[in-house]
Amino acid sequence: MYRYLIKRILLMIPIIIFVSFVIFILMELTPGTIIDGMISEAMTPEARQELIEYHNLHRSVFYRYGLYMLNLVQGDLGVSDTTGASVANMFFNRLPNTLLLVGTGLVIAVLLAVPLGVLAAKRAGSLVDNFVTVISMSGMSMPPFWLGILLLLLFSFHLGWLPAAGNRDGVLSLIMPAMCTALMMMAITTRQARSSVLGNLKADFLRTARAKGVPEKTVVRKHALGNSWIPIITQIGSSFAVQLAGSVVVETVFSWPGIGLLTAQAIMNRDVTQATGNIIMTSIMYGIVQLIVDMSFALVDPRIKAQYSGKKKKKKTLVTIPAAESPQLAFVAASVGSEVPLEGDLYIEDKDADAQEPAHTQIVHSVAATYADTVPRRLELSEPLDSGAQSRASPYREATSRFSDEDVVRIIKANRKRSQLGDIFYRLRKNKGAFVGLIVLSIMLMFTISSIFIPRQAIIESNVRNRLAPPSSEHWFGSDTQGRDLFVRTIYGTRYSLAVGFGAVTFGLIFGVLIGTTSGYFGGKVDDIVMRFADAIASIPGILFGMVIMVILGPSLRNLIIAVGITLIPGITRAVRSSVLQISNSEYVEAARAIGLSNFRIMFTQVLPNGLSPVIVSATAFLGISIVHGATLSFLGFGIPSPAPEWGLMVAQGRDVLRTAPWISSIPGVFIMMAVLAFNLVGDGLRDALDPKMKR
Amino acid sequence: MKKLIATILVMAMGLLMLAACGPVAQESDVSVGAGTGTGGGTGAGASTGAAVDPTVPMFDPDDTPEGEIGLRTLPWDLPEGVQFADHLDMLPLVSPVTSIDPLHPGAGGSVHNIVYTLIYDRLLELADDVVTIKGSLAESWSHVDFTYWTFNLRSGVYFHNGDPFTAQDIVNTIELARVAPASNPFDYWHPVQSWNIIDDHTIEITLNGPSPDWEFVLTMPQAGIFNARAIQENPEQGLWIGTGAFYVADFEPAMDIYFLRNDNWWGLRYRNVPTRSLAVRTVHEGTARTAMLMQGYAHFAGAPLPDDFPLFLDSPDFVTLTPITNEVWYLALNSRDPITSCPYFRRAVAHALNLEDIAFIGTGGYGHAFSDGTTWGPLTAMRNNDLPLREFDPDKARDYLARSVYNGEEINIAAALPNALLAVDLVAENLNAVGINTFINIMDSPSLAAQHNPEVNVGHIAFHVSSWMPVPSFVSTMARSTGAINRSSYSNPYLDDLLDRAASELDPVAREQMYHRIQEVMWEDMPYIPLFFRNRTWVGQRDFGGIRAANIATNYDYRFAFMVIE
Repeated sequence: MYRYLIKRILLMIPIIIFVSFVIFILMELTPGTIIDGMISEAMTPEARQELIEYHNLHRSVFYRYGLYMLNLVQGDLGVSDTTGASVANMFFNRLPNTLLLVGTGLVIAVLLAVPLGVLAAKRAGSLVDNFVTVISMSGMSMPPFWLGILLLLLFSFHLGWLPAAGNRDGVLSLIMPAMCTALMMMAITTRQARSSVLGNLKADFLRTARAKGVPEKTVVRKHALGNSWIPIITQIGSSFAVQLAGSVVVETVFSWPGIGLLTAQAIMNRDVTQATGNIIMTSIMYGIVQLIVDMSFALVDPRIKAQYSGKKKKKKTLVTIPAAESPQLAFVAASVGSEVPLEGDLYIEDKDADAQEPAHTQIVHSVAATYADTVPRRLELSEPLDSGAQSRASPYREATSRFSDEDVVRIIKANRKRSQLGDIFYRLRKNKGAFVGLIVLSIMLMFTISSIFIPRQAIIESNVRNRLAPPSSEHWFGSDTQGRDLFVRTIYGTRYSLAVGFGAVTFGLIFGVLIGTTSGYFGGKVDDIVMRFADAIASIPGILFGMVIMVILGPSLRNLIIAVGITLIPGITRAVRSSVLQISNSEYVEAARAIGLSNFRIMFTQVLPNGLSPVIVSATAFLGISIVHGATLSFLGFGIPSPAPEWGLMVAQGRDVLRTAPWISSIPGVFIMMAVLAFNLVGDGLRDALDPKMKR
Repeated sequence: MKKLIATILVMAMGLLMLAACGPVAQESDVSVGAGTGTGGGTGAGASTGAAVDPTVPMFDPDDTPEGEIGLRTLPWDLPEGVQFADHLDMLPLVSPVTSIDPLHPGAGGSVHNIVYTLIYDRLLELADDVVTIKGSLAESWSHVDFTYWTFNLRSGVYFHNGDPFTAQDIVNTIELARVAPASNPFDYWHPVQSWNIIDDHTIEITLNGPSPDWEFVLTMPQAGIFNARAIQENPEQGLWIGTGAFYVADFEPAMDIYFLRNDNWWGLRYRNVPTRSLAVRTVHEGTARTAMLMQGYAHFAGAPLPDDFPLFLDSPDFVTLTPITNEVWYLALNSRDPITSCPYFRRAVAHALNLEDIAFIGTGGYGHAFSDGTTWGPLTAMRNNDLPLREFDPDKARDYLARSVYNGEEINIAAALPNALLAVDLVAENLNAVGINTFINIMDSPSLAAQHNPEVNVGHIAFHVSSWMPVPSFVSTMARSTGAINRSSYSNPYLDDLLDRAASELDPVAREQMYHRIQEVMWEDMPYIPLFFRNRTWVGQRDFGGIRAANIATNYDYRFAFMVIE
């Protein structure tokens, strides 16, 4: 246990060095320096030179970085360029506020999510279950900045119950920001709790418990829920770490004096020292939270505790892990450095496993294994009815014995008539949620196509005499602050969100697949190095990373795609790598090696094609995330430049007239939510369609 | 089907939520008519009673608020025989106080000056009419040719740490400022050539040359007198020590500052400071600022959202003020770029702009389009009001464009968040309409600030704002080739020489002529195209008062703020 702890802590050192280097260099690449903001009429060239030398700007960036690191190892994070205060003091002054905010959000989320998840699982398939599912899906799809301003409008403006900003009014100040923070965590955790409990409710040991006469309440609470805590804790831990690192949006909307707001301001003020210090500290916190999550497994699962405390020896490790309903969730978690155990009783044969390898790492493998298995297993399981005596003796055969052989053959033939793609589409279509999602996406696609016929002039032409016109027959969605028709702009804006979604995911896939395949295929040192890089990048809060990149590259659609896409690379890399790890040990790959194919050829003709399908399927989750991420950057002013009608930017432009013209922010916000929801629904449906168990 | 029903249910809930977020029902006693109303001294607004949706401000160029020139205050004199609130929460501006350190180059914004006015006293300050200069730490003063100055200092003045104030503190302040070349105090004190301490309460100061504007400069909030011993003892917090009416009790950088009244303040001999504690808070979201005022979490807010201002304007629950400021919004055309330095192109741009619309959009109706051709601050001395405006005339713009070097290139318009995002859209649209292709380059403030540097400034047009000081020599910051905010990279040796001579000219008439000539030259060369200047919008709770508006943004004074309680 202690060795493991020390190992994990030591692993943080290269991550910190890498993160500090990346952020330091990126901040140096941003236009302007701290000197440019020092405006003084009387400053002589000599005085300016003195300042340049004081800030070491006449020296190379590597010299400055070296100096920074020298101070860092002595525990000195430096002095903020804008406030003149100690970076460490500033950070630790703000940290309790962020911990309070995220911690409260976490408590609210857990208190609501676990009972809701259990309730939904108990009544699986009922209206209650579907209601909970849709609520949680909506929660996951709602951009936090939009939710924040809606809460503000409702609880501060209209009801007057809660203070609108700051943290100086006690518990009342905390409610809205905490609600906003809680919603996303609650949505994901509800889904996780539901699927985990549902998986256990169907397990044999519960049937045994019931048979023994254990009361249903005890069955659910003690056995079903009790065995579901590992994935729930993993999910909660990941959400907590993500929110801790990425609370910038909520803190900005509610002027909450936390580290997210502090870091965002530092980036905007080009305060390199403060921004770098904050991001390093955030990365360390992120690592610590992940470590605590791993350690907590031992508390709830004696098998894992035994592994932590066991002696080092090579053996086969067999772990049974309950399910998560959605691989998308796992990919979301994977993208931020954590993993969610997946559905079914999953047996991991870890040939080279160190007995002290943590459950966390094993879960990584389990995620990969499940993804990798998804498609092949589906194909295998479609065969048994025709495979002779063995299949005739199967439980499935027994269950269908009331049909005549002819019926069975007819059913089989009917099923076989569909191609693989047709089969997938058939099951996708049967999934109501996915079907609704497909319709919404189709409509959005139509919007995008039809927007080609909208002249650009129509979206930029102002009419100040017609500003803030409410929705009417003339302006279906009303007009904006400059009198521009919101309907036309919203329709036109579809292209930006879809472009950011697809573009960023494609960008992430290109690099993630290349890096992940290389890493997974070669393994060993290459794998270690690549994964540490991925961990380091993943530990930088995505929004802040995106902000820095946008400041460097400048505002444009292309750059926004790059900024969002870069943040997806670690998650995709990790997922691809896990998938490739499984495949690269398979027999056909060994055969390819045996006949002398080059590594390059094996990777891209044997391994990658077989490992890519589940990754692509799960990438639908990244589409939704990318849209929200892109909209958030635009909302914060780092996205596509005006007058482009990007939805996030439109929400931002309408927030100053929220009281008088709420439609300006609300309508694009609804569209963002609908797009993300649609992608999530389709993603879920696609996963179900490819899952053999769902077919059964 | 169940999932479908559930989806519909959730959507219905969402719609209900949106409906809940609909426009606020107007209070029966709140009358907000067509137009955003005028802001008189007490906030009496215009109410046409027209049958229009009162929540939607309608645009009428003839009905923009007039504002007031010169001194305006919320209720200023302390009422007698009433009780005052012990504590006040103030939301001055959206931008935060990042540092209490006038010597820090990044701590010179308007909101910082509010804080410095509370903490420090200056040698001189503006009288209640915000025009006359009166003594503060200096009881009296005199000068010879604006070069040799003598200050007789007030006795019985103490710093917050108990140290007595003496002439040596002025010397210490000058020396501290001299080692901070990027700071505003450096600008203020750098003309000092030498000094002579006569006694603890008398000092003679000699400047490098005549400086008629130096007297006003000494009234600036950042010309406060520091306590060198405190700074030496505590470099981080020593600058929190002044002789002012309030001292810092708690400070969260870039968020909130809490002040307590300095009961030993010398000024209490002359005027009561009714509030014991005062918080200067930062709230970024405009809607949140409005909500905090309405809920009573804040007693005063500067710069509420223009579209929310009508909510307060005629309400009996609030007092409002909309004074004109010297805050000028303008376009800076890059003088180093072959296109934007072309005189014909500059004229084409000027004639293409519909300033009325731009001003309305940029200020939400609380501003004024320039009606003449000088970039000069509307309240700055020696303004040349005879320079004609290059009026909105697209045909003329096209004519000039055809004669210019412009050949269809994309013109990059830089603007920083959150400044005038909407107005810059309109600028781009106006230019597009006459055939100029534009690209709006939204950037953050530091990136825009970097555009001052000619080596960095590779753009074409930048959208800027400057708070003009009332003294005419301020123009040199924008017009001199080495000017600190020469955002056009403008360079005219003739003008540089004229600026030098005007700054030290002792004859007021000759000086004024020189400054008029300077404006003529700038009008011809057009490095800048002025767009509009804005009204400051202030809102206080009913029975709030004691705030006065000076004619520049940097001279807010919160020391005497009060709130009468029942």
